[in-house]
Amino acid sequence: MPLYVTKLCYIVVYNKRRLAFYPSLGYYNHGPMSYLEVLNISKSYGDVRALVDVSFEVDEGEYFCIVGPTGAGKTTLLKIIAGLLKPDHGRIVLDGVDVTYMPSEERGVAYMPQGYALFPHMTVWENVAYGAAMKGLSKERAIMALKMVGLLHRKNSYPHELSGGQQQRVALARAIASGSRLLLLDEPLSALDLLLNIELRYELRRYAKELGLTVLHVTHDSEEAMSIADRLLVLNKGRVQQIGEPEEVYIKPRNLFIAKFLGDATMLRGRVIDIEDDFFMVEVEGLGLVKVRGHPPTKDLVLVIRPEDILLVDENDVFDDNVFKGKVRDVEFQGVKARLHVVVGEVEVLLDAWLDSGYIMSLKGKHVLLKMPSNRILVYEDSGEDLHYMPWR
Amino acid sequence: MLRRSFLHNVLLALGAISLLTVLVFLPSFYLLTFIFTRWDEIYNEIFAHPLIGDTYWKEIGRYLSLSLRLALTTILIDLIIGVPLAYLLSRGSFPGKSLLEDLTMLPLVIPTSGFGFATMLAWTASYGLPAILGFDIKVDTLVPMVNVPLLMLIIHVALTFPYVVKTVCGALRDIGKSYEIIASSLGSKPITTFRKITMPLIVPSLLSGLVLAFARSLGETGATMIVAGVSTTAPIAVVKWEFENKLAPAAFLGALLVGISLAIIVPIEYLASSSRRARRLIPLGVEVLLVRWERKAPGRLRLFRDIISLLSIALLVLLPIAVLAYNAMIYWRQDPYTGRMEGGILYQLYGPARYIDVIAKSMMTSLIVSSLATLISTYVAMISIPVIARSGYGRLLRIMLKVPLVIPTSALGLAMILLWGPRGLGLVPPGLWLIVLTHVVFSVPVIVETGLASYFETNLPLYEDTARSLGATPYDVMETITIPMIRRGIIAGSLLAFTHSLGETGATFIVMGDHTTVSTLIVNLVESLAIPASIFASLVLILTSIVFIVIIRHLIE
Repeated sequence: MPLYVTKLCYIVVYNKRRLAFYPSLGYYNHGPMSYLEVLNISKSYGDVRALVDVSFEVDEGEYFCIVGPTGAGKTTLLKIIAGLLKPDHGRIVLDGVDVTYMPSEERGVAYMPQGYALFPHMTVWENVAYGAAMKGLSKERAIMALKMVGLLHRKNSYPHELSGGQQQRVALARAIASGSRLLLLDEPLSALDLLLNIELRYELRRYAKELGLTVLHVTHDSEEAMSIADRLLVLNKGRVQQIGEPEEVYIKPRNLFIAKFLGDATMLRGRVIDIEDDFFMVEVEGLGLVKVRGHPPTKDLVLVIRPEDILLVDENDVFDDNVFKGKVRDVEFQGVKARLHVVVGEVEVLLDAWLDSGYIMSLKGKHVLLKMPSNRILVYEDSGEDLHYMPWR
Repeated sequence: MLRRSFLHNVLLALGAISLLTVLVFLPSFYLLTFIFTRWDEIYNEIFAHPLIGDTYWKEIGRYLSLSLRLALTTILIDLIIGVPLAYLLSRGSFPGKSLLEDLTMLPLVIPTSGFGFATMLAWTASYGLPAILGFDIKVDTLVPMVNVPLLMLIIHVALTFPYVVKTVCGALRDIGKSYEIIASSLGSKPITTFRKITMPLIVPSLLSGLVLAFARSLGETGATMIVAGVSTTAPIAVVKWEFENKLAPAAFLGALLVGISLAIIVPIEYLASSSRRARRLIPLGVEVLLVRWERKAPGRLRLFRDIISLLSIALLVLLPIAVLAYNAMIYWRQDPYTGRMEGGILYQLYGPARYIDVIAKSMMTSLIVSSLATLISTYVAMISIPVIARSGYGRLLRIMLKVPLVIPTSALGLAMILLWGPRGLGLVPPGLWLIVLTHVVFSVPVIVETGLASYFETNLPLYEDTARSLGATPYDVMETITIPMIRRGIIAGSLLAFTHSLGETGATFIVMGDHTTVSTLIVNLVESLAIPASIFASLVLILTSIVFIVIIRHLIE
């Protein structure tokens, strides 16, 4: 009740419902515009550099994933785009307008934090209609959003009465109903168990596409990002590592970090001993000579081979390139496929095989022949780092 | 682009800070400035009086020495009874635990003058416990070694040990049981675990609890006045001099009290919040022997702990209230010793003296004062909490808000009258409104603290950020998210402030003018030897507070 005194002061001093008007703020007219442009954003917390010169563009209606290990600066980046943090340098341009210093509530960017932050003192309906109420929009969009996520019948429940999946849907409905064209989702699926995670992934994408929304989805799970994104951005230690379509990034990771981060692989250290026209030979310690297609970047190399690229072959292929004999140390059952840990010489190689018969599972302890196709081997410069150091694991 | 949201933030921050400054900080720090602005006057009065020389300075030294000895002895005893009690409350599970918790917190909200009166009755009356046991305790019985009046020490311990219990209990709950379980699974005896694991972890909280207790003891006025007898502590001297219109010594002593409180609190608060590393105090060889001894130590220490805890609660809290209630019964119709009706409560209330009118009137004043003060403080606290929680200078504001909590109440009263009263700005004459303003000073920090506690408990910044991105302006966020979500903390804090305000005596005494609140009335009644009437008024006041404590407890859970 005494609050209304303060409220009155506010309204007198500043009419808060007045529409925002931004005169003379650089409108950008360079060719076909992207919907969201992040330009050279940097942000430090004391000595810690959370973001270093991050730039990327997102088109309207795109489902864009930002993926990186914990502490990569993903949440900081989202908060800067949402207007909840100010960058030290750089600009955010949204739909042609520089919004870097525009307060969050005027940007029209809905932020859904990790854990959803459903207001615990409001019902589902009050939560979903919150944005509309604050912006003075009609409530119809809120009804539409609740219907869409299939929770209209729970509109009088409180958030704590809902399951994890339902809470996630309400948070999404709330973001949609706020009328924002850009959704920022911070780890929207990480609190859910694996099955629900996979189910809701496609639901998220479907809603976004149906409504033509632009989505920035942050996650630490590279598999999740690759299965859902139109394009993805890999972030590490505050720096952009690579931007591209999931397939492109997975097949051609630009550096060793991305190759390691996006999936399991066998990593081998080697030294180039011979260079031919379109291939070169690498001597790998404890394994032998490996033939690789392409041109070596340096003399000391790290070779990366994905488990699904290595093939099991029979005696007929024993004279092909890169065929090695090894002993199966262990077989991991993974549903439709199995992962074999094969000891070849002094190194251990990972390989995936389809489980079309019981044969694969019986390989444990036996000797097999395997082939590393020379065109599927990724090559990176050896910077001397520990190949098995993966702090995000 | 310094625009809307910036404007909102600035308005909010300016509003909050200016309110805090005028209502809370200005009175708290005013006495200190008084020393500098009126130094000539102080010097001529205290150090170089033409007639009496530096008599005042010597007196100040004497009073301060008594107060400091008292406060130090008090926190020593607080330590001995507070830690076991906190351990019992946070680790034990037994029937009646929540009742024990309520009893522990009672002295924090109980009206001090009523409680002081009850304690005096319980320990000095001829039918009291000590008399039955064969001890003869009087108001001027001194404790050997430290030479402080025993009764004063008892009342100070009773009023301050909850601070130690409360902070240590909170720390013990935060730490959880897991470290202790692991230590005992590694083969450590409970007493070794307590010494090596639990104790180092609670030291910062223990320190800040002891500091609060020390400051409280240093500033205690209301109850001390009742049991003082011939001895004078520094806060009482402030009241006395103010009444005798000797402003210079009163202000100087008040400023010294504020200064001492600050000088002790600020470093220790800083220490408690920064240092987390325990140092080895005991050499390793001794350590091995100690652990060996502890392994053989009898398991009865637990019993010892429980007995200390229960006994202290029984003697310090229950006994006075029980004796007060018993007295109310036997004095109801007549004086039990002479049998004269004139010495009974009924006669004093409804007889020619008509004390019931005075009590009812002062009760009304108390309720009006407490309600107004709480309302104003709640409002100030509500707009301050978001500012303190979210801004960079919030930490500083939070530390500064600790000051009114530990300022000696009589010094606060003096500051209020010097600042607002006719000798200062002349805006508010002594009376109801000045009482309200005085109570606001210490009510705001109480509400802000409880509000901030629930602010950080609920991870509010996350919700606020989300709301902002959904289109809410900073003001909308405060109205729709922040305040509703910390509502319970604010309500609990308001009730706490209300009971504080209801029982406040020391400052009220100085600023009340012609108005009288119940707690000050009790002091007056005791001084005019209207014992039956003061029994009645104390009981009413204590019962009201107990009702509020029950409500607070209900709300917090």
